[in-house]
Amino acid sequence: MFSKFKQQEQIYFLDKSSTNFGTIEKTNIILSPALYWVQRVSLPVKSARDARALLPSLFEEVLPEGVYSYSIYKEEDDFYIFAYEDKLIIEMLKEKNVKLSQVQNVYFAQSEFSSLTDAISIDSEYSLVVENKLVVMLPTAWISEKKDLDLSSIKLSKHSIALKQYEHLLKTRDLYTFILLISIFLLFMGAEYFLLQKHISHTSLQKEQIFAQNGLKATMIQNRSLLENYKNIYKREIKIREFLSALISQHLKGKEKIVHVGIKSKEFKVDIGSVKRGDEVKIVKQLQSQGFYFKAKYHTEILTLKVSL
Amino acid sequence: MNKINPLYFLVILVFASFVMFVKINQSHQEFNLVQEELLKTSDIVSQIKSFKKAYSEKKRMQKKISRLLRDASLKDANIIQKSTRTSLKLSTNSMSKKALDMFMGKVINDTYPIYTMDIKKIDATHVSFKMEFKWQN
Repeated sequence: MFSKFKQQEQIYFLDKSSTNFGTIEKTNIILSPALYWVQRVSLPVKSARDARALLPSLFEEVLPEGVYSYSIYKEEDDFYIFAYEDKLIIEMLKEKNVKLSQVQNVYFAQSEFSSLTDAISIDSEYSLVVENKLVVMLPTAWISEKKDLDLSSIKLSKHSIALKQYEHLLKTRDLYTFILLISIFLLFMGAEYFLLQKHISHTSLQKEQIFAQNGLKATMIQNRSLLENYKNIYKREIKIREFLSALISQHLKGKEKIVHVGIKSKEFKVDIGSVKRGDEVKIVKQLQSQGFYFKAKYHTEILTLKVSL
Repeated sequence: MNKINPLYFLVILVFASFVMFVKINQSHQEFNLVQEELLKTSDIVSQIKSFKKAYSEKKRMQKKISRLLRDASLKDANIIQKSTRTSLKLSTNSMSKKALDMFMGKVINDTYPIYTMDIKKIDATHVSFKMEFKWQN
């Protein structure tokens, strides 16, 4: 039915009968009493903050099923306590084309119209009046004298609330519990990451220093090359010993004798003397059966065997 | 709305946890890699040190050979030693087969790095003998 705007500081009165919000500018919201529950109480506490924990229990037997947020402020000796459904208000704002990003602050009609002296008509059906210090909605038909609402005359109080978009999904307390648990978890993960990095650094350093500490060459390539060289020497020495061992274990018959054994850089050579023609094959086959393959040359009863090292 | 929605904070924390989880996984892999490299490097070092002891310690091995050559059974062989920075040459024109057996038995059963050798039969009981050991720097 109406949407009232104050020029410099925009205010929008939210009620189911409100007309749609027509601009993209930011605005403050005053909630109609239809959108919240209010009580004026005396409490045995000094400040509103001390009473916050009591609010759910004070509304326990009053509120219908739903997910509520609570608010409280003190005026003179009285406490004004509120219960409201964020989801309901947010949905109504969406209905009225008010985006949440446009909302500056949200106020209760109670805090903004508490000094009303006359009734103010909201629409054709309802008006706002102050009864027993509470701002209530009464049927307009009950009221003889009423004025139109003039939002330009309103000076907004400091009693604003913050709407929670996902309160119906998750209670704030649960949310903060999750946040705390995840923060602790993140802390442990951070510590693990830090320790891992330290281990990596330490192990890398060990790897870098190991060559120097053992008096070896500086780089891996150099040391691999050195190791290859040693392995080749080792293979050669093993071969020499295996060949010598094989020769010594040969069953030479009659006058057959080893007359010469020579080792050069790349060659192992042995001469067996007094070998009768035909017997040289037997000697070669005997060595082959033991896994030794020599180049054989037979000349004037001397069998010459050669193998590469 | 003026206050920051705690749900945004929760989402940020969850995202941060996911990122941290990925980072930790990567770090574990990196650590395993580095540790593997260290083990490989240690293995290489250990192998080189063993080989070095066998094939690079000329002074120590030369002392052993000198002690061996002072053995009574090799006295008559009159083995001559010639040493360079990296090698030791032994030679004799004549040594008994018994002395040769004794000497070769010691040499083959140790890690003396035989580089060259020349053993020739002179007669039924004697041989001429030349041997060169060569060590690495």
